[in-house]
Amino acid sequence: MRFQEPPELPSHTPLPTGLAGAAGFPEVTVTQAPAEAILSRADALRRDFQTNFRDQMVESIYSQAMALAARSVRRDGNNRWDLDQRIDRIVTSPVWGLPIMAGMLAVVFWITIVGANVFSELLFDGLFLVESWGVSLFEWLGAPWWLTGFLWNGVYRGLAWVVSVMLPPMAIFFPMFTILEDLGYLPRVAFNLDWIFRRAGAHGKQSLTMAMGFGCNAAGVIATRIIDSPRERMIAILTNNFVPCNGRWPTLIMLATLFVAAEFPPAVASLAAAGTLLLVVLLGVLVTLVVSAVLTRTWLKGAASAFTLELPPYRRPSILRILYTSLMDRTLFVLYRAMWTAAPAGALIWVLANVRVGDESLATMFARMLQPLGRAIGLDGAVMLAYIIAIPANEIVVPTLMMVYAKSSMMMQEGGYEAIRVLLVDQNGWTMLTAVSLMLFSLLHNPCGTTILTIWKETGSLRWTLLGALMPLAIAFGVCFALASVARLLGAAG
Amino acid sequence: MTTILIVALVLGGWLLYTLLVHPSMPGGQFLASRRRRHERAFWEDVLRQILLMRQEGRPASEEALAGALGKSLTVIRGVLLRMTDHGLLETNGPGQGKGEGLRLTASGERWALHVLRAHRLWESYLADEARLPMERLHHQAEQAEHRLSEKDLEVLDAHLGYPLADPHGDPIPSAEGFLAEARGIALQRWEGGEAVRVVHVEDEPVELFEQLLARGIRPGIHLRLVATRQGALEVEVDGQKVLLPPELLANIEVEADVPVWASDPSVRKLSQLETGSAAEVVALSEAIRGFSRRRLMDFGVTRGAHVEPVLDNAFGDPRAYRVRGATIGIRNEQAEQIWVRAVQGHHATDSPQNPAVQAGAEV
Repeated sequence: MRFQEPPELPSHTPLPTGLAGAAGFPEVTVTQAPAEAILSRADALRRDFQTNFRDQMVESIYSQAMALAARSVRRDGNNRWDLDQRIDRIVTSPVWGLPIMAGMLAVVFWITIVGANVFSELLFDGLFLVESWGVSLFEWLGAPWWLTGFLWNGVYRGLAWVVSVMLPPMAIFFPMFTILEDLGYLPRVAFNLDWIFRRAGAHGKQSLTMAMGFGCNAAGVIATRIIDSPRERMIAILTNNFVPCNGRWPTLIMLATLFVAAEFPPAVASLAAAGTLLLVVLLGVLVTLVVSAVLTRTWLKGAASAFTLELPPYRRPSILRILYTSLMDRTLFVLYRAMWTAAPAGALIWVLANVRVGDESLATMFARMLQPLGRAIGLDGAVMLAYIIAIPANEIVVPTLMMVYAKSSMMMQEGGYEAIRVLLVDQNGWTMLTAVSLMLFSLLHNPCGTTILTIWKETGSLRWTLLGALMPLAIAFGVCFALASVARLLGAAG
Repeated sequence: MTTILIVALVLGGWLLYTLLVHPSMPGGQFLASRRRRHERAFWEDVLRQILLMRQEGRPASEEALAGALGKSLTVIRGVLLRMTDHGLLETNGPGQGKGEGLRLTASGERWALHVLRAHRLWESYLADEARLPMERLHHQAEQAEHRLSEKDLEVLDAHLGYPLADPHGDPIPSAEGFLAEARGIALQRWEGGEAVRVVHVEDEPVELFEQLLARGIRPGIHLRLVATRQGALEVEVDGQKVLLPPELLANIEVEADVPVWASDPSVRKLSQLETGSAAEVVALSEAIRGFSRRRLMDFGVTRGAHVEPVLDNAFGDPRAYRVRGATIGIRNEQAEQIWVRAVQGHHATDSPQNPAVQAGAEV
């Protein structure tokens, strides 16, 4: 027997007030007795309580609390609750719930894309002005060309690119997301969509982490902490990548504008581009659900767990707090990690573009070597190379691609969409099929380095991290390969 | 030439042996520790099996052990001998080679209880906290029971709130080695009234267990016995008629302890309540355990609480309910396990008192 000596019990120890007799407790009288006898008596009594015991404790706590409230709280109607309920009846209504939700999402996207464009350009110009100053300074100091190039055209340009493409959309998207969160609207979204996610063996709150993923997949992965079941949280982590993040929007927007919109008359061109983006997003959601369902039946076997979700009263958002949480906790946090991965990528890109073997740069050589792989899935070697280099941050896919195509010595932005169209279509033979394949690849491929690191930090497991990185890659290759093969059979690829 | 080859082979073999297999070398130590772990797990399986057989009133024979553990008789005899040498087992004298009366010694019993406790606590943890589906619990616990130390179990037990039974309804041995008697009677041998409460559902073999789960049979559920048909039994589970073939009947244990409300026709499931009506909670099904139960309790879904379904969504699942001044969404799957009784014209937010006090201890 390993009993510790218990403290001396006074005779006739009363039960805590409120417990005794409150919910059918047996009357217990404790008399002076040896410690072991008391403990074994307690154990025997405990066995008669069964599961009800805990329930009864909670019940008595609640009944005491309510009695206290009844004595001291006076109610004059309940206007707040009536208003809340009226809003709730609309935003969760069987008819309007889903359209309202889709509308809100569309508005958030639209503001993000339009607003980010303005700030991105300002930031871009500012940061690149600094680069030209830096280069001038180094030249004035007489630094060797490779040092100037490596530091300013490589490392700094990589950083500047990621910051200017990533920061503005995040600084707009996250506060808006936080406003919806603070208002109390987000739990209603989870409430509306839970049924769909349950069918896929996942949790309703995954709809929220998925929405967060539109801003940044790394932030989406962190947001999965709100899901309390480990199995369903893992599903949310592994599938977060299937919604396009801010870093991938530029690629998708460019392709939608250059290829799809160009097929339509100018009057509806922007609508066609927007429609294409919507299709891509919906496809991403569909893939999320399908992959969740497959994971539920394979590696993460299990039934959907319990779902109890509080729908809190609506609150007026507090602007200062929103700015703080969305900027400090989300934007800066993600940006900080992204910069750590973008700087080495910038350095690598510069080295690839400037180290020459024979009379071609390493970049051109690698692109040539990757050509067969790219061709097989309807793309080409330059795209494959761009995606390999852009593992740390998806923002640099397009500039790297331009660099390889133009055989330039640094990442570059062609002037305007027309110039890009000439470079892609006229000089490198892109077709609609290439554009669609690239859109699919961009949507489905492996998460960026920041996200992979975040998955590793959140799961603490190498195995799940590898699965999270390789599964999307395999799906991307599979889907693009299938598309290219079908197109080839139909003769569309020539 | 051949001589050199033979010498080389012998030398090489010896070298390999010393480096990899010899117990004093790292490779050998690895192998030996692996072997020890396997042997230990095997012993523990044997101990647990003997304890279970005694609990069920079956004699623990070598043949029965071999069948239950899926090993040959020779292997079983060998391990029983080694375990007897270690003072874990005793037979009724050397003359009875058949091992008819295999008995655990005091230390053997303590060890066996530890393994059983580990198995059942781990199953409880998986079901209640990790929320794994029922049919996967047993296999996982089979692995974990050999890894958990007594200290681990103390922590786990406290974390789970000292549960008395595992998710299948089997009693969990206490840290002091007290193992409660099984409560129920096999449905096969049931001769009481027509209302019964399931207290235990056997989880082996898995195929039968899955069939039981598919029919909605789990511990804590109430059955109404309707009719017998050629050995099979027709029962009503949650208002649905289900046929239980004879091979399943032996795996369900029941008792007569059915609460009063179970036969009250006005008691319905929360999921059946129309939006806009009001009700009070009569009971939470025993099938809601651990984390899910705590979460519902946290929200104030306790006996006597007023609930009103207030919101449907596009899919009708989950629905939102007004409970104690808060709105909470609950999936129908769980609302089906909450029993309520309709009340008239009572607004949840206005109710000053918890009628639990008046409801008394009728559950």
